[in-house]
Amino acid sequence: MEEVHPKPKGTIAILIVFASLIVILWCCVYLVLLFRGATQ
Amino acid sequence: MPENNFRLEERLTAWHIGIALGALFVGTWFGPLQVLEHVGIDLYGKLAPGIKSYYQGLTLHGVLNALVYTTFFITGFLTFTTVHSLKTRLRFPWVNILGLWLMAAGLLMTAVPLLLDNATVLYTFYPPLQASALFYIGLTLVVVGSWVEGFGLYFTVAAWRATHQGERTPFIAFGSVLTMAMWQIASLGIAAEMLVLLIPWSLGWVRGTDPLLARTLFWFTGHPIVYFWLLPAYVSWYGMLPKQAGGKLFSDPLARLAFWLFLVLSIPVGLHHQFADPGISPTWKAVHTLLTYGVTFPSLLTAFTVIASLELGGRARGGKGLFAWVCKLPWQDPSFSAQALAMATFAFGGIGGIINASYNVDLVVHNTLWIVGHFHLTLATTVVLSFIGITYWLVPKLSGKELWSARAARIQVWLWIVGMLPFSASHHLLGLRYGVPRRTMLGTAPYLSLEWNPLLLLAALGGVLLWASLLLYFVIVLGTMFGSRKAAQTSEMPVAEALVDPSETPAWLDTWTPWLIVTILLILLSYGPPLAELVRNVDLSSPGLRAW
Amino acid sequence: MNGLRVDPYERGWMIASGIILAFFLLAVGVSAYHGFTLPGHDERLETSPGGGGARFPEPAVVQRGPGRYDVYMRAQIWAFVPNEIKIPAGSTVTFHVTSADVLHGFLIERTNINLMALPGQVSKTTARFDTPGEYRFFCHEYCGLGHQIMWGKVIVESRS
Repeated sequence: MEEVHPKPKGTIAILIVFASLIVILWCCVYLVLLFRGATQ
Repeated sequence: MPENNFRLEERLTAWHIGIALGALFVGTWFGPLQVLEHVGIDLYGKLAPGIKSYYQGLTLHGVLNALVYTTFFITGFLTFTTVHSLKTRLRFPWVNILGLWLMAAGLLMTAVPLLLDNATVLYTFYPPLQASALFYIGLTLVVVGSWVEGFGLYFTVAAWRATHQGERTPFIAFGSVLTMAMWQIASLGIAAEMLVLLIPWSLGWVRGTDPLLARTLFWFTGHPIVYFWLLPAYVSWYGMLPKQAGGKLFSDPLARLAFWLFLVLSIPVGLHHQFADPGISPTWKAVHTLLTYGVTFPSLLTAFTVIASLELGGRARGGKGLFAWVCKLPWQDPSFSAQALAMATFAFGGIGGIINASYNVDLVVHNTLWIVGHFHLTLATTVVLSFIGITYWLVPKLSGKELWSARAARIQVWLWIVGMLPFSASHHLLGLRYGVPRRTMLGTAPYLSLEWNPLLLLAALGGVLLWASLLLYFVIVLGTMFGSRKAAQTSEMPVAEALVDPSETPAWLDTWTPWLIVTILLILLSYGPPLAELVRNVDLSSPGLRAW
Repeated sequence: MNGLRVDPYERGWMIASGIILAFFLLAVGVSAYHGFTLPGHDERLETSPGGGGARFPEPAVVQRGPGRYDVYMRAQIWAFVPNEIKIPAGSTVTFHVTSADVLHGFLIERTNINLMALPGQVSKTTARFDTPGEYRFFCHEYCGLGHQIMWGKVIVESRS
């Protein structure tokens, strides 16, 4: 039996912020790797 | 069921937690000593002749906080959660009691060389640095004791399942037992390292050892141990916190699925701690990178389910709008605020983890202070602050007293965060920007740069605040245990109700054999070949060295 | 998945996460293909005297051609040998690093040189030094009481 409950909109809003942070911070470190030069 | 029915189990839990907190108390003091040393304030002289060096202190900090506190707390907590969740007593209490005695004996055995400066090898004890044999034997006993207790819990759950055919295992008990099962499989690596390599070598039965094989076996366990630490916090976040927040568990089946995925994916990933090692092929390092990305999934799943569960509570308490419901959550309950803040912190710890796991990206940060910043977010905050939050109802429950005092506890929790922010951020930056090495007595390093000082000062400030927060925590715990205010009503383990009754959760999410088979297969596939190659080329020629 | 009801928002989140992680893996793969590799290993060394297998050369800086160098470095308690390397700007240097005793680390600031030195193993990696200046290197794995004094520098001199 399915209970009716409100959609977790707040959760999605928080997770959008979180996902953006993941991408921004990861890319920052990735760019540092590229900037410091190849190892071969 | 009469309240005193679980007296033995609760005494057992209390002993575990007592020993855990004792270890944390001792291990904590070295934290501020380290950050202060980095800014030129060397207080180690005050500890002489008891503590002989920064590195002995660092070893104690790591072993007591990351190995002893965690193992004892978790084993005790999961014993409590299992019996209370099932409403069934331990099937063979003597098994769990034996396990605790083994763990305690192991702790005492390890403590002797640690305190006598005969095991200043840090909590990773990489050979060829060689500690006294007692150190390795003691730690092995602690692990074996935890195995024995795990079996005690399996017997208990098996007995419950036999008399409740067709019923879903209650979530808290399920998560608890899965954590122990995962740990048992995970710790085979360190057991092999100890029994086959380090103990015979430190006893002098074998002249030399193979450092790369030892290290690989260590990290076989070294990654999943962080899930041994994390999953008990997840048991609380999924199984208890929604109740504390006035909400419900958003999805019982997805909560269980997350745990199964941890069983399968926690272990076949350890090579991501060895990206910078020679002697291991880049192909296998890449395979472990993929699998490590896999193990981020159950945590990302957890983020959704847990936040959604709390959102149900926030809205039930009158919260409206996209974000404002967060303010309606029970922040005045320190058990809630500790765990909610631990969760928020894990966002950053998890991002750092994905960065560290990204194969060549790790080269930017490996073995720098970034890593120290990372694990103080994940272990020291996500896990430890959650455990602290749990004790804010568990210690009152076990002692029958009221929490002394909710206000002090609220302050303690926020003080932890206020200390952790500068501590962790500065360490991340020092590692990323300057490549400052970890595990180093920086204050006397000839290469110490002026430009590092502002961040090191920030770190020192943070570290001192963290230490103050923990001291306050111990005051609260002792104040509760020895306080005179008996609780008006006994504090109970919070148990969250699921949105949809667990009886609707499909049976394959409560069936062990297929998941265990996949777990073992994946370990064989990911670790079999690289380990086989290391064993094929094994070179037991490194003699033990004592470089301190 | 049989019998598993997933909230559409939750499914959306998992798909989005998967896309983000796939993007990261792609970026990693592309960079690895273009020379951003993990430290490789040369070969297994015999550490026992008289054993077979190649022996590690004496620590040295060897020029292979214009702007190309090999550095054979030994990490030991508590020093790097050699601990000072002078090269002209624009040089490409390949480091071959081993340990004489315990685990050591080797990290050169402002580069991607970051590796573990183990006895009986050789770690190999390369960097190109375009900008003149001093690039310090440190040991970043605990190796005993003198761990914090274990360091050195690469001095990159301008071509004029």
